[in-house]
Amino acid sequence: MNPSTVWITIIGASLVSFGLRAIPFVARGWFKNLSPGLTYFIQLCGYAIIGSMMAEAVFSPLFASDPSALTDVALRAGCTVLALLFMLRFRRQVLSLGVGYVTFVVLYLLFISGSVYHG
Amino acid sequence: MSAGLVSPEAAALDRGISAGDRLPRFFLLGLRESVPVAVSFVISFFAVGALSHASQLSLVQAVAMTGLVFAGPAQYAILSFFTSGASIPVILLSVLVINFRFLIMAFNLLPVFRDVPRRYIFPALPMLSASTFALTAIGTASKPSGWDNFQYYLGVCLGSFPVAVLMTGVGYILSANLTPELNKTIPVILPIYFVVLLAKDWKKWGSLAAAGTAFCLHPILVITFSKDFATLATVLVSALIVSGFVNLADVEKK
Repeated sequence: MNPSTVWITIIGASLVSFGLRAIPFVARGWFKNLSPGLTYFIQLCGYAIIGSMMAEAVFSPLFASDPSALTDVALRAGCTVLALLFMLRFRRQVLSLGVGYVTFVVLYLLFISGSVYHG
Repeated sequence: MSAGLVSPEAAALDRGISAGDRLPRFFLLGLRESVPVAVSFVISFFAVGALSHASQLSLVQAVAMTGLVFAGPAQYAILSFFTSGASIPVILLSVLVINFRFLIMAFNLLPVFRDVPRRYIFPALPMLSASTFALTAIGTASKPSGWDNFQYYLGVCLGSFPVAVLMTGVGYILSANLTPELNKTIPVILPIYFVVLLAKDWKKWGSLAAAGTAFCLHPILVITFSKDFATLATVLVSALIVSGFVNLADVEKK
């Protein structure tokens, strides 16, 4: 592969990526005048991105046509749902991320056990 | 001090710096809370490095791509396009589509980094990724000022970005296949961690509803259309649905 082609592509991709990240800050003064409704919509988009990322991680075996996909997806989704139920049940006790980390470690170990048992 | 003026000590305390602190505490908090993201980057960018080796990039090119682009899905796409011999405009257009979510993420960070001068923000923007954004968006919800939020963001980025760059190099050099067990278990780190973070925002039902709607909608759209279209469509449709319900609820209250 031509090294100059690779470097041009890398630099071009970095400029595109940086531009997308920077545009809102370049026009920050203009975006301060957005309506509350539009501002709220954009905030919701941020949380939707997080949900989309979580779905990508949980359902990725299904997208890759993995033969053991359903069991893998069930294990990942089960651990994620358990984590949510646990955190919502004990939300008042979650004053720091400490409890969250414990939850995370316990559920991750459950997931590993489930994967090993299934495997 | 006269009314309206704040002493340097009080201003420092407002920004999370107390006497004896060598580093602002929100920066350290971000550094600490970035650990699970860094762990997930160990594997994901190890794989990027290994794939870069297979795509016949040099070590410097592989590491530079992670350092300059810092977007896993886009990097995978670039590497596959290199292998298939696609032209540069096609590759860059694909990067634009795949990374379009960065525009939405940056919009979300506008109020978070309020009052922080752009000359500080711009150098930190290349470290904005989906994971560092998610941690910043949720983790800064209760921080009092834009500077505190920005410190937290820097902590998150500096705790995870160097790991990504380093592991790209390690993956390139070792280029070994990951064990099936690691491949299966590591991807679940981030969804569980993000659930833990989202649950801390349990009072913001609209935000949780948007995340939940996107979680359910995303696999349907990926299977029906393509992955890149699905991500953008999922985000916009989920936010529209939830904001529609919120408006309806407000109208009914009146």
